[in-house]
Amino acid sequence: MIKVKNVSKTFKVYKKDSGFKGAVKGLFKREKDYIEAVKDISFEIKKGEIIGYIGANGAGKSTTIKMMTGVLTPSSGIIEVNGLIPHDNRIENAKHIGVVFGQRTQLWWDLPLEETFSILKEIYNVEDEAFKERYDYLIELLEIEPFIKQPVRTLSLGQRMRADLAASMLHSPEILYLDEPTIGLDVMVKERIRKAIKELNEKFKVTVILTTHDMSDIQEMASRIMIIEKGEIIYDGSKEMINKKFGNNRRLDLKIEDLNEEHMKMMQDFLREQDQSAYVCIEDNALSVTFNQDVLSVSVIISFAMANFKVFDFSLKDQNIEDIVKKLYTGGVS
Amino acid sequence: MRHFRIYKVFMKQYLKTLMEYRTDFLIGMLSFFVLQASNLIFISLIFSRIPHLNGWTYHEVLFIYGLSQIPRGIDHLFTDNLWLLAGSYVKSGQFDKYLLRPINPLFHLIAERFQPDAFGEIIIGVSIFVYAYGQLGLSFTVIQWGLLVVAILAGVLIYTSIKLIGASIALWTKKSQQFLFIVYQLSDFSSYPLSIFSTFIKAILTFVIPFGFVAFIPASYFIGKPVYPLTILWGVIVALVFWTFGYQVVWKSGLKAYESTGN
Amino acid sequence: MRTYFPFTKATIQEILAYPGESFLYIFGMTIGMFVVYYIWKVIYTTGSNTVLEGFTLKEMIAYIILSFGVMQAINNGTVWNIAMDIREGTIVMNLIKPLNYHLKVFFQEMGYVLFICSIVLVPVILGLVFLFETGTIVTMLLFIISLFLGVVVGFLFDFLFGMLAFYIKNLWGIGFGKNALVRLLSGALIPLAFFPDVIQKVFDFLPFKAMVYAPIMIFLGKYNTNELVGIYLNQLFWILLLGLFNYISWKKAVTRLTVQGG
Repeated sequence: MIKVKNVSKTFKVYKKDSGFKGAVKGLFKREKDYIEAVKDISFEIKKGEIIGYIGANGAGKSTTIKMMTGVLTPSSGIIEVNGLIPHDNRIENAKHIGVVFGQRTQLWWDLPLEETFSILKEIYNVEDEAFKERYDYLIELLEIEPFIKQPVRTLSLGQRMRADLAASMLHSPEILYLDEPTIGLDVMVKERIRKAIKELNEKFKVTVILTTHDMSDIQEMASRIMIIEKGEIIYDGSKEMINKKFGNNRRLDLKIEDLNEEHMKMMQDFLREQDQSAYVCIEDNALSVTFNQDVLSVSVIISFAMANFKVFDFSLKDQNIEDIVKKLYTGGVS
Repeated sequence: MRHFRIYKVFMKQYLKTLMEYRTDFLIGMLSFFVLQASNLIFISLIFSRIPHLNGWTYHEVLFIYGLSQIPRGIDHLFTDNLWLLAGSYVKSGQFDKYLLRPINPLFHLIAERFQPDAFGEIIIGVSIFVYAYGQLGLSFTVIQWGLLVVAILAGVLIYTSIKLIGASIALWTKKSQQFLFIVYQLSDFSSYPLSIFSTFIKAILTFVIPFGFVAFIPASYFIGKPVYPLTILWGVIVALVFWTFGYQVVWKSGLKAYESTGN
Repeated sequence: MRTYFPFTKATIQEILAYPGESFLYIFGMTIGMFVVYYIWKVIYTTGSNTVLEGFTLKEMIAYIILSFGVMQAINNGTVWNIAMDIREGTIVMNLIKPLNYHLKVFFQEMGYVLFICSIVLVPVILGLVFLFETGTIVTMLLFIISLFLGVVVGFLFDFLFGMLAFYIKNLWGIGFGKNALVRLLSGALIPLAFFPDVIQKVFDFLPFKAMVYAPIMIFLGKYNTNELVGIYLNQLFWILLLGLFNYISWKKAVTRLTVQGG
């Protein structure tokens, strides 16, 4: 359905020296520099897949998405979406895709939300009946009814994101591109959105391509993961494989009163019985436990800690992309 | 036809919000009155010193000025969003939105915004035109009224083309608002008889930034002192040429450039 | 004071980052200047007078060139920066930081002023004094002082105007009207001496004369010593008065903001 073959994108950038002198110099002589944002990537995506496309900032995620949606032209290589080349047939391609940007909205700022929907109906030329059905379904799924008459600029980030998601699905697109859809949202809202996306994928078989650097997004939604680093795809495989290889790790940081080595030893002894791959250290004035959540549940660790230590605060972090990427480089991919 | 329906939807929305922001609209219109007034005061002050400007009298110059504001206002009414293209859409990345929708991005951009403040310009333009028409003792035939409409429409197209070209520059440079400002300042002075300018400036105002064809040249025909034969026809030709150049060449290559560099 | 220099630098760097735009801008400005020049040339050659309202054609040309330059120095992005800050809510950020918002915006604006001065005004006044023989070195220096005062007056006025963004949603349209009004009443469009005497008396009670007309007239040496002192005092007066208005309005706006929220 989506075919990306040997695609590269190189940007010409004018190098400027920093500071004031540099700016003046920049008027007369500008050094050209070439940045290879994307280097010879290839992959295929089948209908109905949910792909998690992850990478650090600047790794090439947005560039790839922009090329797939037709907003950016590749420097070389071929992209085919349902038989069409996106940047050559941008308007035709646009009829079948939905796009949600986490950082910018596609809704009309000053208009009440429901008016945005009626405008989009016209723009995408959706038939009345089909529209009504979709509309009712999306409103209910994303619980938009309470604020549907409010101007978009008065909505909270979470509300706006749900609205953007609904707007992107109104015209029954075959492919949905989500660029950092959960960024800045609190945990509960993230959950709702993830659930909604999964349901949309199941019900309508819409292919979802999701960029993020939140691992939990991936864990919850994606079945397949592609990791891009410095313009190259360094991993393309199932979520299970990643978890098997690197473990579904999380990190629990415990703030304990009078933290000392004793606590660390006690935790280590306790963990040895539960999860051999887990390790404990003291970092930043906290007792840090990295463990595999497929083997050991966080509540077990917390219960143990609270029963035995004076815990006054804790935080739970996901394994982050940087760690995985580092591991991929050192451990090799297979 | 679909485009017409889409435009209608945008318009409907706009009118709804307009009711909410009535005061803003009135203040905006008032401020355009002020702009018009200041231009008129300039003209009046000039003519309080001299009886004519290269053979053109006060009322003739008023006629030209009034005529020039009508297409300016009509263009302003419909294509105001181009200013935002010049000033912020490219820089902020919002421009991508227009490329991701299944309709012509320029149409989308223009249809999205309607600026009724511009009625101030149109009203003043018509008023002055009518006043000068009376003072000059003119009396148009039906054909001439028809030609007037054609000339005004050509003028609108010229304004839109110039604005489009100026705004499209932002597709390369990220921002071109200041430049567009200056070009518009130029149009404030372009209601004067072209004969007072040097050949170079005359050429610029006729062929490069053709504000001359918006008012002075067609007005010269209607006053009875046409500067070119087939005046109105030339106006139409210039308008079409500029629109074609602005849309097919500048806008489209701007899009291509944008698509290869992103933002 | 030194803490605010980076803002000036930042503005200049931003201008230099888009040399194409600046070039087009200056090009457009030059064409505009020529257009106005030709209008005046016709006026002078049509009438029988070689001096109109005390201006010879040469002085008039100097006036036009200077008025364009000065107008650009005064007419910069201040209003839009403030209006945008207010609309987007980033103005709150500025309240949190230990910076005086007025000074911050002023120093940002100064970056633009310095740019216009170095690229346009300095070469122009040097050319006018030495090549064109209007103005003297003395008037040039006096002009610079008056110009600076005029810029401050313009800044304070623009700031007040920008604060309207708290109350009016679409400042864009009004901005055009305000620019036209200032252009007319400050002498940028036509020397104030051309207005009927009755109207001219009113101009002293408006801050606009101090922005453009006053410095240019000083440059052309049109004032005797008494009048010169009067002009400087007038400019200082407006700085104080507008400064006071700014202070009061700003206090009111900030209180309203912190009480009501963005």
